Amino acid sequence: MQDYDYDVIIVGAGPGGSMAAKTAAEAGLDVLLIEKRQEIGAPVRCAEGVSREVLEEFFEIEKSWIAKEVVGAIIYSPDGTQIKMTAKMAGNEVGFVLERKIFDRALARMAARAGADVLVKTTATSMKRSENGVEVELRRMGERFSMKSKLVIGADGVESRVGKWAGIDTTVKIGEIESCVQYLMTGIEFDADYTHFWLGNRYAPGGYIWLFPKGENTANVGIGVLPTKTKKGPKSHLDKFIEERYPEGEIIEVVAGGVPVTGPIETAVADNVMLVGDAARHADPMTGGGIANAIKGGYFAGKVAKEAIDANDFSKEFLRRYDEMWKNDFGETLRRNKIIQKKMLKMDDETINKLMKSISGYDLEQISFRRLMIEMIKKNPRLLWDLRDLFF
Amino acid sequence: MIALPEQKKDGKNNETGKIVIDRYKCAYCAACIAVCKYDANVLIETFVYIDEEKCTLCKACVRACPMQAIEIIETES
Repeated sequence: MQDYDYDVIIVGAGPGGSMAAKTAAEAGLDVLLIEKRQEIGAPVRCAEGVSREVLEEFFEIEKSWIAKEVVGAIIYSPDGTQIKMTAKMAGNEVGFVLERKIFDRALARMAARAGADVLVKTTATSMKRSENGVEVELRRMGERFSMKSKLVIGADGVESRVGKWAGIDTTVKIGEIESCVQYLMTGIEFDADYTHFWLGNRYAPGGYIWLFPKGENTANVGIGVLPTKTKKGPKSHLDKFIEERYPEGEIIEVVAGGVPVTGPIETAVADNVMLVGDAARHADPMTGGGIANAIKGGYFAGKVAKEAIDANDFSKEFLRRYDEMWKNDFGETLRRNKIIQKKMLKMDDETINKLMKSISGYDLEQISFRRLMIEMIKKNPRLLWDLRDLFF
Repeated sequence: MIALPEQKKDGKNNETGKIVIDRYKCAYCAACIAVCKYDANVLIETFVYIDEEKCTLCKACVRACPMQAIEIIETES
């Protein structure tokens, strides 16, 4: 006879992990959600932007989660050309700017309310497969113990261990991680109805600078750079930008993080194991946004966990249906945006200026992202010829 | 052509030294752990532990660190 402590152990209580825990617990599974930090939701490693639609699709939104609602995005090219996009076309990372410290806890509370056990300040230190199950070694405030489950969901972030233990190829090469620094700034002037993005090597080699409003005079001002594109590190690039543009501001929080921009991985499952969110490299390689896909992935993984328990089948082959679900939902977008990101990495600032100028006259209230790209390709066929198959 | 550092038999390159993290700069974001191919580091809440036996001094973590908190210091070989 087999004894299990839980049906599912979920490692990591970010949005992906808590969503998986909530979904699995609501389906009646015995769930343990562990978080290595002593606080869920802190420290934040994120710009906190998420699409309105995804949030509305999955939750009854509470006001306290949302720091600021925005109507669109303004993109600035190196020469200052601006493009204004509506939230709808700017996609997954525009709509709401969250208060992650509140949102992440709310999600963990929902998981707990659905019946999940939650342990904070608890790290998974190793994992081994046993007969038809997994044994996870845990360390909690110095105390070591192990728990046995049928499934493990690794929602353990960019530094995922669960994937490595399970033999899933989640390697992040040095050219596939955005090295990011962000300041929560206050006392600065900006249009708080929009998120703002500055493109070009002048600002952020291999990435961009963002400003996400969190209130009228307060915003997340951050940068991501590719380590292969600059030796100076994100912080010095950001400091220079702030010195030029927002010297009057005060920094009230420092945030750092690495965002995986690998594009879709072949599989996010192994026997008894599924990966979710950044651990599954589900962050968007063009925008770096990861919350929406983590929520979706967590939901899918929770659903598949239930199916696997019902079928008493925890094999890689069975869990592949989780791969199918995330690939059907956002796999193609990850693939497409990886191609666009690679293309953008090759562009110098002159080229970015030229492309932005070529579409600056369009009424972007009326146009979709696909339509915009088609127009841009038509106007710059030689520059963008290799992207045509993605949009036509 | 890109010159690769000479490899020793144990997979370490010829550099001597060790990785050190400036704890005052570190924001414990774990970017260094994400890029380590050798499983040579782990984030224990707010503390990055480095396994010097596994570390090959490949510098991936040095480059990925957003806070520029990681460097290689020379040691007597």
